Amino acid sequence: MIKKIVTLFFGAVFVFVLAGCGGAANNTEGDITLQFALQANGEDVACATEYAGIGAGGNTITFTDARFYVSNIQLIAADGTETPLELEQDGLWQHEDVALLDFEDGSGGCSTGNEDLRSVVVGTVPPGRYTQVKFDLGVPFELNHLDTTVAPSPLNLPAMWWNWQAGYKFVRIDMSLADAPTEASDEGMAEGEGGDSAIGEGATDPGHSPDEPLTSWFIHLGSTGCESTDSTEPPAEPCMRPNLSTITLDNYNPEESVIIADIGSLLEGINLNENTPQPPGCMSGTDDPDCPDLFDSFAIDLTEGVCVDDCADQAFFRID
Amino acid sequence: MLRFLAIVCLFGAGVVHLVITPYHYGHAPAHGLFFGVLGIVQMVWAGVFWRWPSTALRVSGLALSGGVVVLWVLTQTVAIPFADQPEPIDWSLWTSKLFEFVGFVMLALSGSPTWQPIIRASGVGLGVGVLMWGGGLGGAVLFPQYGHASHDHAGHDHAHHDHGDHDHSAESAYTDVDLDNETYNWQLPEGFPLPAVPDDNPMTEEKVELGRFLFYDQRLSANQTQSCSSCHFQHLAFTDAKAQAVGSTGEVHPRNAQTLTNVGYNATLTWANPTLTELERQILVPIFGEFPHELGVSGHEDEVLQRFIDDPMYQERFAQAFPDEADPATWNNLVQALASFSRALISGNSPYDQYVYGGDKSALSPSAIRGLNLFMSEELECHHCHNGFNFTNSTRHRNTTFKDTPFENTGLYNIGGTGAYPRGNTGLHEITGNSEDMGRFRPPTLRNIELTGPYMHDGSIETLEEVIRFYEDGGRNITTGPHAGDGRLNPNKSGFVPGFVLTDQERADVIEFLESLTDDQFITDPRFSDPFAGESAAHTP
Repeated sequence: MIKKIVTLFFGAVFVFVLAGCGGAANNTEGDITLQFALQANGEDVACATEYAGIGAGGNTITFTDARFYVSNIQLIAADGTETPLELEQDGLWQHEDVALLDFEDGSGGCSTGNEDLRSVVVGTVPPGRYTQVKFDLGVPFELNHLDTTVAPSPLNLPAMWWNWQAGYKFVRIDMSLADAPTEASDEGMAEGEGGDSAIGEGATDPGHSPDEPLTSWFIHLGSTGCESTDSTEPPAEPCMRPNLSTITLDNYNPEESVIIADIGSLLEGINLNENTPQPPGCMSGTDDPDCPDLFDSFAIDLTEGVCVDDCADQAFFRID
Repeated sequence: MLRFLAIVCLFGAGVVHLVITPYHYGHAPAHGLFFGVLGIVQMVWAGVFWRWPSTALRVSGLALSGGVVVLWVLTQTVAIPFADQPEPIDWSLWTSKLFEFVGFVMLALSGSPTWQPIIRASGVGLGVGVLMWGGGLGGAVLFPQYGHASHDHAGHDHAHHDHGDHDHSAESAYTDVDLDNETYNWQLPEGFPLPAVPDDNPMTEEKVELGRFLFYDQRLSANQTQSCSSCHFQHLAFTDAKAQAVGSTGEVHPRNAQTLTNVGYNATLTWANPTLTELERQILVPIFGEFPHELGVSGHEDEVLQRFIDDPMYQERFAQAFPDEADPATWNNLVQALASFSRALISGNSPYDQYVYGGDKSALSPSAIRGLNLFMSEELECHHCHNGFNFTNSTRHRNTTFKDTPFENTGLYNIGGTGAYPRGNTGLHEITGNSEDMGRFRPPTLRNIELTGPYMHDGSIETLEEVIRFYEDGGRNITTGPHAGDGRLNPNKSGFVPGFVLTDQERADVIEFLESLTDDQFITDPRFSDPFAGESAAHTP
């Protein structure tokens, strides 16, 4: 009798140990720090620094803003099970399931920013083994049309907000082109008829020169087609084009993976010199000639505002 | 055989407990101590029981293994001492509990091959487990300092790595304002946040009222010819309609006198100074500044202050505003009162506000609504710098967590094509000395903009329509004179000023919208008006 029990026990222990060795060991105890990096062709992005060889025109650029929101983060186990990452509610960088990543420190030309930087998202999941990570690039509709004046941090940044109707800029990457083509517009600026200005520096030419080179390229990704009476009113229904892309990345290891967002790969094949005004770069406008190629890189259908093929071909994020 | 297995199991459990001790010590010292002691005792027990087996040791072994399992079950299901959440179930837990459980069973069976001793042993385990758990809970109440530090994630301090060492002084200084001391009734407009107030100068009705008297009192200038209000007239939304301000000694200021509309919400003060974030410090500039002289008090400090000390009306007002001080009529208190009055200058009842926050959809004309939507569009880009409730991205208040301090170059000048601005008016560059800061100024609020011309930091654009045309052009091309140069090509110009095209109607719409930001209540509010009006003798010598 005793012998039987003992045998049974050791049989059980044996099976247990085998299962442990054969199955996947946990790769997290539950505390997760998602590491992000914003790069330009493999170099970490910072303000007041020049990056060469960007886009099809091989432009040299500096960044004047570099921030984006991520939300709805899921860790995916080998069997495909998705587990939401419960974000630490720090009252600063993370609110509910939205987190801000901030790669500008306000220095140099980053005049729209502030000194604080952020390259991590901090949260918890049940201990387990996770092999993929998935997140939405942007702010979900329910939180997207708050009043930034009274909204909780990090949704209280006016620089990341359009207005009630359009909501937040999911991605704000502002670039200054150091080597924009400069066909001088001296000619055609003939005698100005403008009156003397108040402090008498002389005549001014009120004419606008169409040849004036555009020296900025802006990426402002956000929802469009949000219907309300005007820009001061939040939409009651989700926007026609949410432009909230879902990014799924393989080979994720909570202990060592860095999620890299690379401007170089995002803008690959896009010539920053072929820049149209109103606005320079792309601010998600469906009729902006600067948008179609950029949205292709995000794998978002510009006219539908949703992922093409689950955004599988997006060119912005990868895991190193 | 059974005894030997029990010894191996408990020794194994002891090793596991020792291994995990440092980790647990990190998040709750009491847990670390518990696991450390437990691990050592289990290992020592194993050694002793192997060498000198005895009944007493067998019973204590039962307590050590069964008790710990029972303790664990209780912490997982009922409550855990010294922490908020049960420990996660991981490898260490599985192995140690398995060792203990197997060890317990082996020990129980090794007594005699019947069920009786097993039941007795279970009783021992259960009793010891409950005792340890109860002791732990009691200890947690008595010594909470050994418990889990719930918010700082000690031991996994990744949460703070990227935060760096930036002090969020603004955050702590303003969000922790002692509201008990703030007796002032802000009468905040709908949609407005509370202004940031330094915690050493809480707003009170008495201070604001004292500040109002001082603001309008010409005795505050050395030669008693000017007060703050000499360049900041209420009916002009606290500006002076001059291109450049003129001080009490007749010296011309290089800058345009700014509106004080919502000045308490400015992230930085004056036209371009990232270091000047407190009204209490900014106010010293017009009072004591010598380059240029404004109120010209420098060198006359005692004389000027004595005028207020000697006046019974001010004696009373200072005493009311600073009730804890024996001699409250000091420069420090005078400046605090002026700062309090300045913070009270809140404008948020324009037709735009009635339309957006008041729900009065008739408050804006169709033209103004068209102008509003143009203003907010990506074609005009106005809203990138003039955004939020105060129509400037240089905004700070009690819900602010990040200190944005923007300054922008709008292409107003480009002397000789070098990017230069006129000497003495180079903006942020004057403070930082960085060439890329040449011509960068703080985006001002657009509230009451109809009343605050001439425009720009030097008042060099006369009318609102000219300002719109200036932005249409994407800068200003000056073709003759000492400042000649094409501002549209200024290398420091903001990317948000590339120019745009408007029809005459659209331009009129934008202006109509801007004029809807005029707040008639603000410019006539008796709370902000001249207290000496009508009694001409009071504030002139």
